Amino acid sequence: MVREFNKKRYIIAALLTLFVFVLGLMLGLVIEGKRVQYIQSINRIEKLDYNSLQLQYAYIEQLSQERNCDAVSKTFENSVKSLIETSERLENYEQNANLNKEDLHALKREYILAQLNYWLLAKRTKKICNRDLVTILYFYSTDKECPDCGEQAFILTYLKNEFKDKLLIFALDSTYTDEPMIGMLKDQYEISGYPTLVIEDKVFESFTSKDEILKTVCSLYKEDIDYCMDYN
Amino acid sequence: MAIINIILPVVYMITLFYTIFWLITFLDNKEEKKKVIKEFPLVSIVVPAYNEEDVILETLDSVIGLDYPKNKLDIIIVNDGSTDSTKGVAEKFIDEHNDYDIKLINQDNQGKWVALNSALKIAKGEFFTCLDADSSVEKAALKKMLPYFTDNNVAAVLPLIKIKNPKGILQKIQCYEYIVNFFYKKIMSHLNCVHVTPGPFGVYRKDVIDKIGGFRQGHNTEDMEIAFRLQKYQYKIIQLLDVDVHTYSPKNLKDFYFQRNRWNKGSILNVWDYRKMMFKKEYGDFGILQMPMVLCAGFIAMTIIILVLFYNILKPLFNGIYNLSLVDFDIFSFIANINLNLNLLDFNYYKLIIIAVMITLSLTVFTLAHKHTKQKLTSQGIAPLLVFILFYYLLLGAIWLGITKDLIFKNVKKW
Repeated sequence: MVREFNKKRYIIAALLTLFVFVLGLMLGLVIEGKRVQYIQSINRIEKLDYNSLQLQYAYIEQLSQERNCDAVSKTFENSVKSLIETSERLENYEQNANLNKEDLHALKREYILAQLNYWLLAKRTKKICNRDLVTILYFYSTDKECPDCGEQAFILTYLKNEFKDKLLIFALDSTYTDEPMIGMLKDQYEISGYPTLVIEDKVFESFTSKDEILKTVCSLYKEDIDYCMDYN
Repeated sequence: MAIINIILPVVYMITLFYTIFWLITFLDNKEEKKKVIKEFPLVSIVVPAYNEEDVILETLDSVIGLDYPKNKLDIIIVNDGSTDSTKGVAEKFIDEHNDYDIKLINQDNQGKWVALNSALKIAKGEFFTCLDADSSVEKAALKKMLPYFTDNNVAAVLPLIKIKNPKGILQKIQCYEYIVNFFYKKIMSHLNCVHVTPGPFGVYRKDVIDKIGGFRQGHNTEDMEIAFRLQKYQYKIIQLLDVDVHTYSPKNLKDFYFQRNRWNKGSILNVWDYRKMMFKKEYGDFGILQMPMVLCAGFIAMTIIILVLFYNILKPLFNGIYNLSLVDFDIFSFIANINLNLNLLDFNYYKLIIIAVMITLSLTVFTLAHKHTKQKLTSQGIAPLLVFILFYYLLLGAIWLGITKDLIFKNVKKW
């Protein structure tokens, strides 16, 4: 028997394989594009929310309208929640992106700025509305040099779940060098490694356990908080 | 996730190519017209038996039940050193059927390939086939199979093997497995790429087997070794899907493991023995496509299974448990705060697309296989079907893990 060797069949199969593969990539491209659009559209609303909040606090401060504080605080909390959710989503998209990395990277800057804006606003609200809350800046890194970041983030999520609006956590990608604010903060708090927590003005470098965080956080509240019973 | 993110797309491409290639091949070949037998050549049927007193009668009954002239059957029972009453059962059967030409060879236990060669020496038939003592064959088998030998290049014609009386989940899974495997072998037959001529009732042209030197040990898979040799000497092997042979299959996991370990180990050791045929143009698709696949597929599948198991199941599980330990296993805090704000865009589309394509292709193959072996998709019930779809590859992965271990620690010298 002389074997037939059907070259054409190999070529057709290869082309079809390529076609399916490219089709998958195209679909991916479309979805990645949708992701960018989605974040951009939320970003627009979140920016408006921030402007509105800023105005509301200015209004309260200048006209001494403290009785509005509760309502504004509620809005504040919701805005922060939405902001953090979007930041996390963006981080996730950027990690998994193959094609639109740059667009997402640029968007990330918006979110770093937004988080810092809210961080500063939170400090103001404490004075204006006499709010009893604690803020944490969490410096993480997305590269492999931070094996503990996953665990640290898990603990922070847990604490956020427990303290709800009494605790504000802002997560910042410290490797994001395009934004000078990150560098300024790192200089101010003398941060060199990750993960690092800045709880109000106290700096905790490297992985910090739940109990250590709780000890500091609980000591900062003026009122008694149920969850802090064991740590005061 | 670095390793898996590189390996997965590569394996995806390779798998995609092979599957598309097979499907094209299958669609390219129209089913040839059924051939009708005109004359009845003498056929030697060997029944090798080692301690098969329970099942050998059933097998012999199916042999004499064949729809074929009595005087054209040359039946040879080889008692391969049985320590039970196989010999007695066989002798009694011969006495009761003295209108048939049945011979009994008694020899020391030396393995199936020796038994086959002993039978080959005294076989008078133009064609030669072997029916393992745990199998039975449909009546019309020879009439359906022999016409394919009109092509002088054809050295072997193979039936569709099905599981006899499948009971329990393991045997039912094997039913599905056999259907898919034989469909695959049908495609291989179109490509002249069949690499195994399974024991139960594969019919050989006897002078070809004599010419190429009979059966060899072939790493305990003599039916694979002979197929490789037939390929080497450029003979055709034809797989049919309309001739049924029923055979018993392993009932428990241990037997299943040892059988598959032997088969798969045999396949790669035989490819290795015949490695000089690989990538040679004169061996066509067999050398270029089939041999590399037989050699690598198992290892690739095993690596993928291990990686997926590690990255997608074990690692997240371990991380999850470790993370929970950091918050004193306060799971309720997380349950109370589950965010149901699901967003379609959040899914890992990259993996989803691969999974979707793979499932579509698998289901296509699975459905075609059932259609062409004339089986219902749910022939064995829904539960075994689900188990087959979800866990079969995991089972294979475990078997290949065993094979890899065996090859590394035991069989290095033989290579």
